[in-house]
Amino acid sequence: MNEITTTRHNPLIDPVLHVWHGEVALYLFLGGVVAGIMVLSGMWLLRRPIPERSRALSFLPWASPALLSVGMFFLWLDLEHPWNAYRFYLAFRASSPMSWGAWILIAIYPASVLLA
Amino acid sequence: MGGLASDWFNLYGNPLPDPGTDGDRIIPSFCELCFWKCGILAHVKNGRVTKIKGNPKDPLSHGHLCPRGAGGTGLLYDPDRLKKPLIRVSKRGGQEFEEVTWDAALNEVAENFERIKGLYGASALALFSHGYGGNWMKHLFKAYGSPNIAAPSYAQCRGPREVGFDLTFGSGVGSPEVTDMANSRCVVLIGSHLGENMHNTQVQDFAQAIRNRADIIAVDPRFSVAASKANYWLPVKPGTDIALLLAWMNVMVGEGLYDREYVEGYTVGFEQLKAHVEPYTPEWAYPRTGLEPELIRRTARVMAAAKPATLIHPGRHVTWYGNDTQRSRAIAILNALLGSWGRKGGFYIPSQVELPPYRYPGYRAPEGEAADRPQPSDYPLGDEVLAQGVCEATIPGVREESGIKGWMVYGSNLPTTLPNPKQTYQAIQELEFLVTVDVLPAEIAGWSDVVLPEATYLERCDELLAPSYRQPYIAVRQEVVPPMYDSKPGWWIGRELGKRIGLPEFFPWTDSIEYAQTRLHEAGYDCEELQRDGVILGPPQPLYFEEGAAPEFYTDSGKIELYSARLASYGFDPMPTYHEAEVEEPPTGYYRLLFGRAPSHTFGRTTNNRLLSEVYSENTVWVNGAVAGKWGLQDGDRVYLQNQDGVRSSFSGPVKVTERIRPDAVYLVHGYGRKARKLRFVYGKGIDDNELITRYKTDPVMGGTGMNVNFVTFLRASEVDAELAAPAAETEVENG
Amino acid sequence: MVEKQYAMVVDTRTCVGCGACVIGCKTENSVAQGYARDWVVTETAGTYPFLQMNVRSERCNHCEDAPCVTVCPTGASHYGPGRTVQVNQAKCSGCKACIAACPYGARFIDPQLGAVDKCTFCVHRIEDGIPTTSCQEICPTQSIYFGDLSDTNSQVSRLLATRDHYTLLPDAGTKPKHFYVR
Repeated sequence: MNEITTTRHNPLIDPVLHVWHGEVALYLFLGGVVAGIMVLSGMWLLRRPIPERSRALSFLPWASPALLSVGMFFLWLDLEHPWNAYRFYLAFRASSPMSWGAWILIAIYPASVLLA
Repeated sequence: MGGLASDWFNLYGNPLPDPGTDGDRIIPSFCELCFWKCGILAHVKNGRVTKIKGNPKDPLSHGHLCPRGAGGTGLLYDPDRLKKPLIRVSKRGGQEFEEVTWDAALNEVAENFERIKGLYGASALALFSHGYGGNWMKHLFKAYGSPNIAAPSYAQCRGPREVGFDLTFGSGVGSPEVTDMANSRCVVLIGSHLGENMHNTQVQDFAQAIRNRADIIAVDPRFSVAASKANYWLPVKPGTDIALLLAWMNVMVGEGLYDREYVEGYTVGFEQLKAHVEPYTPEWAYPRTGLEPELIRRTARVMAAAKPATLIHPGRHVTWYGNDTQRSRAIAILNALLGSWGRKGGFYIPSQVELPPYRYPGYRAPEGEAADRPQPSDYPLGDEVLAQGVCEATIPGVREESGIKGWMVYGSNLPTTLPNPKQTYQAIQELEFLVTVDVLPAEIAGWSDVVLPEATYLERCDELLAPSYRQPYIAVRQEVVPPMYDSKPGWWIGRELGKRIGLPEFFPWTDSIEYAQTRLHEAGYDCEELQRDGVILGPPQPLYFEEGAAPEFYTDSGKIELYSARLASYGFDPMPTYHEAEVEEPPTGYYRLLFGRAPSHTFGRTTNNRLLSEVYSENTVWVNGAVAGKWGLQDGDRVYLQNQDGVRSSFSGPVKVTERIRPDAVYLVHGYGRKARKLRFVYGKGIDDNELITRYKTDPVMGGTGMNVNFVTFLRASEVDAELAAPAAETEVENG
Repeated sequence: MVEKQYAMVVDTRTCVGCGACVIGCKTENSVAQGYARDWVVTETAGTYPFLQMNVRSERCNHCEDAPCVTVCPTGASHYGPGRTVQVNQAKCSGCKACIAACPYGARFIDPQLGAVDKCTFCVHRIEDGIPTTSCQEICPTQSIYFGDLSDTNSQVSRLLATRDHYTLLPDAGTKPKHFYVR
């Protein structure tokens, strides 16, 4: 058996890697909900003839930008240096999932508003 | 950055990071985080010390530092520092103080010094001192006329080694030790944990020995870092080192492996030694030490093959079992057999720059003898004052003539330094007056009547340094930044006290710079050069006999004494002897308590240093894996330790379950379990080994206190804490 | 001119794990309390009394194929002088993707800036003509070596040519430029 000791005790990494917290979990949930809503409302839009809107359905398209705003707000809260968030949009890095995500979010957001 | 990566609007520019910690002034000085006194360069930017580097010109640091030296700013900017002179206002130990002016504090101290001298004589006032600034206080006490000037660094640390080597070679090993380890082809460490004990040059030399592929033999109940570098690890049973050393001698003499020419030319008593070690065969040593005969033989041969470049290291903290002078003698004798004293790779012959003293009137003869021993004839070869003895002499009834009424304590936290702290607290309660000069509010400050806040080593000049070393040199400590708060340098405190007790003629200089200038000028050195470079090197001297160093031995016979007639004349063993009855077995369920160092700390002096604590912030209880299994202890479980006398540690500490220690011992790093609440960072962290050292064995030869003779058992912290939390319990932690 | 390839070599045979490198780094680079850009690892194998121990000073491996640079969405993490891995803190949003991506746990958030921080190989010293990193400079056992791998005569090149060496987590495929000799 190996005994390992280290003098390192950096927050987020030690004793175990724990980088992201509740904000990100909340965003992921809301992001999922928004995606679901957009798919559902998109399907509704594509149906021919256009069925009559129920109250719930008329509300739904508005829900996606709203929930997305909340989700993005939490995502922004998770940033350790939130005032540098604009830096996401001064670069696009194909190798970085987070870069893709940032750009997709910025693309989807107006789309969701349009959809509404 | 082609392809799919982009970085529009910029901003490709990526400036180099610049932490901006280079000083606008870089001031050479020497360190005081331990007592090695490495040359440093302190960077000062906008009046703040940003970082401390080694001074490449310094022959001790060679431009490199240990973690403590690098972390000196953690002391300078410790928010818990003593900031103003304090006078006690409640009962002693109540820790209620009033902040006063220096004038008021010094007058109070001076009045008490005068009063004690008037009533009982100067010898009724004792000084305990550790650290370079203590020189000013020693000077004050010599002028005052007290013989009771003690340093725990003698009887609680390196004393037996000095006496053992002095009896053999006519010289101690000193500090820095005169070991020539960088050139050794074989290094033998007897319990010395270099690498955890970070005396800078020693560790540099040890690393050089490793790089040179020297054979390393480590004798230690613990798989120390040094043991991990060794070719041979000998996990000796604690207390039986002399048996191993005798068996090694037996092999060397029996197989004719020793250096014949050297032994014939420089030693006396070889025939007696030969007869003496004959029965101590490796087979005899095996059941005692637990080390296999073949291993003992093989290691003896390895040592002999490298002679005379074989260094059997004298160690430093050697007060273990009360037979420590004799063990040190055995180490010295082994070195003599291998011809390593005065030889390259063994021990070099040191030299130093001669600096005339400042012209003072001569000290008056001290009033009476030191009160440190029951009878003046006790511990006859102890040539320094025994700190524990002075403490005892403070308690009425312990000595026939108990005389000590007042203490000055400089930089030495007695409750964690002297064994059996209960006795120390008892002595403190008996005192008429206790003044502490220190940088941090350690336990002893809490018990004091007056507390004088000293400036740290970075804020003060000090006595010149001209050590006995392989390269003679002078070094200077300088004020890197002005003293913070209302702290004052030691030289100023000493002088102001001297003036107030009618001894101004002993403090004629204006300040320590003028003092240094005068002494340097008389010796023909330039003070400005010293202040600019930090060091001035003297002319190198021959280091070894083969280079022309004189083979002179300042013993009674003028030769290396394998047989010591002097020891015999006092009724001690003239040659080291193994006494079976001296080795105690731990009671069932108990484990021998061993203690040592962490590389980033100098005992309790640095454990409140937040910067250094980044690498080590709480001690752990080292427990062998099999033992931990038996007790159901997991790594990180918290325990209290309780010793054979029923004394329980004040705090709990985490268990370190490890294979790196013998099953019959546990190990603690010294300096934790602190009870001084004003050390806000370290208070209550870990376990204090010293409060479990209620027993010690006094070395009959010189009075050292063997402290590795206590046994402890484990108490689960959850159970003890529940018991302590019960409303009936009123076992409040003693204030320190 | 060949591009420089800065690398570090730690001699685990002489390293005693004292932590001077950590304190030296923290003061040189004013690293916040509670955080460290380098650290000391002690690894013991075996059962009493048959033991082996490896002591070493660790830090960012300045990987040739650094996952932190790959995942960084803003370009803050980049390859700098001597193909070291650097962080431009002005570009960092603190998204922590790199912290999660680094297999060595070398990165953390600087609590004052909110930006990612880590070992820089002291490029501010190196590019300023000082030949040593601060950990190397302070090291009392001289166990830390720094230099240019593209120069076959450099101390690090010679050490790697003559001594048995390894990197941490080679299976992570990051091609570290921080080596350990034994």
